[in-house]
Amino acid sequence: MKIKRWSLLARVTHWLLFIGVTVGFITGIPIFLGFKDPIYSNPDLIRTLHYYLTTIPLSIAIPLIILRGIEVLYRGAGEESWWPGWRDIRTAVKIALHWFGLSKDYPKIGFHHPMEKLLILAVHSGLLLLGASGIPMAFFDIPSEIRNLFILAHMIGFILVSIPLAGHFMLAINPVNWETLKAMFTDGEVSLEWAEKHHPEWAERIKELRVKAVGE
Amino acid sequence: MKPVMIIDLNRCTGCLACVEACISENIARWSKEGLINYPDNVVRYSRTRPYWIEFGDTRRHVFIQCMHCVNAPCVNICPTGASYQDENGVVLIDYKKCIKCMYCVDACPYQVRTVYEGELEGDMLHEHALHIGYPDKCTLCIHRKVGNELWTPACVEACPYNARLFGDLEDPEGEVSQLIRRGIAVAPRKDLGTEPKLFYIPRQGGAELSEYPVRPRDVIIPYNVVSELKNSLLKPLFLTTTGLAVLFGFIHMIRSRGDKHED
Ligand code: SF4
Ligand code: SF4
Ligand code: SF4
Repeated sequence: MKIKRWSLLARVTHWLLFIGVTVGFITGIPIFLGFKDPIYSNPDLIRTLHYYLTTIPLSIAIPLIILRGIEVLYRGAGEESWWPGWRDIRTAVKIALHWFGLSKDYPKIGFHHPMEKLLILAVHSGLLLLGASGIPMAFFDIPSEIRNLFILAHMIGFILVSIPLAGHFMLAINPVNWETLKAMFTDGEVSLEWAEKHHPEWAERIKELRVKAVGE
Repeated sequence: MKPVMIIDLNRCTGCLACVEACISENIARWSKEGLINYPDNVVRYSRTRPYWIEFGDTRRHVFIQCMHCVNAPCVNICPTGASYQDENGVVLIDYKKCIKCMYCVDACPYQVRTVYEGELEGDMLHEHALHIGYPDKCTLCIHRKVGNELWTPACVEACPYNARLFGDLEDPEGEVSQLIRRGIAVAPRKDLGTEPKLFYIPRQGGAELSEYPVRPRDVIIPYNVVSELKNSLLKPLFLTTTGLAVLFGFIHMIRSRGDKHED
């Protein structure tokens, strides 16, 4: 049986973020780490890409993220918000203890893995910082006296986005997650078996909802 | 050898022969027919530029140009090492490494770096001449250096009043190092901590150096602090944490083969 994991809105938002962040990362990392070739062999082109091909998709994604927040609040399809709470932090600690072999218990995972929620929070905060510092630097005339504050904020935003994304990338290429990755590319649906295995709490909620719907 | 320059403002008449020399040597392009092409508003792009200040009821001129700072904010902020100090402490730009981020232009507290974005036909006279679209500044005419001998920059050569002196700070007998040691030639705004290597002999009874030779840009956080933060904290933090994320990702991938808990 197939169940909806990613709505169309979630998929479009994700792919806009993917384009903006990937282009931003590839065209920005030489500035941060300090190398020119091969990426910056044409600095003018790369600068244009960095300015526009990151700003445009990310600017479209921001209202969609807000829309998606509203969708999650009102859709009632068993999906939970990505905003992490204390329970998620406790669960994340339990998972980490289990991962390092310090505990036998493995908590039940809901729609979002608690680490995923922390990751999304870091990425969104980093993107906000990147936008708030990058857009003025790229498109407005910032006085030199304060420009270095913007450069500093941009670097901190870059780190906030890059570290979790390195983890996210590693999870995305892990074969156990290919089903959800494929769902993100296509119709957004995963099998109930996959959900039971990886997000059992969410799968149970979906099943309950279905039983209720059939009962009614 | 540590080359330094002194501008004696008592001798300088403001004839601008130094500016003309600098432009012909470093900024102008030479066409095949022997014509010289200049950027519009050319004095703006000269690597030594006059700057006038109101002083009482008089107007006085000084020259601004790269100070070849020992603790150079432009070098420290440059991400690729394109702005660098050569073995003699001369601050130069390696255009092959430059990615045009223009951080150095903002970082220079003396606002001496310019960027010419217009068209200019003809050939450059040497590899350190003006590169269109890239940051530009005084190189002390480094292209004139042969071997490890002290050379003469074009502005020094052109000055008809010997107002510009060029010498080796490490030569204790030299006129330049003596003028500096005796406190006659002084560097402006020592409080910025950049240790400039361009010195001025102020006019007699003239304004304080802090008031006139340059227009230092006072930033909220010095660029050198931002560079230090980046190089000693943010960069290592980025490299170790992303490295760890990738490493844990791999371990997780290996361990999760057939593991029912994983996501
Ligand atoms: S004067 Fe400006 S450009 Fe020259 S070395 Fe100092 S900071 Fe760099
Ligand atoms: S523009 Fe300046 S700071 Fe940027 S790479 Fe070129 S020399 Fe370095
Ligand atoms: S050439 Fe000499 S006298 Fe003339 S403006 Fe330049 S420094 Fe002054």
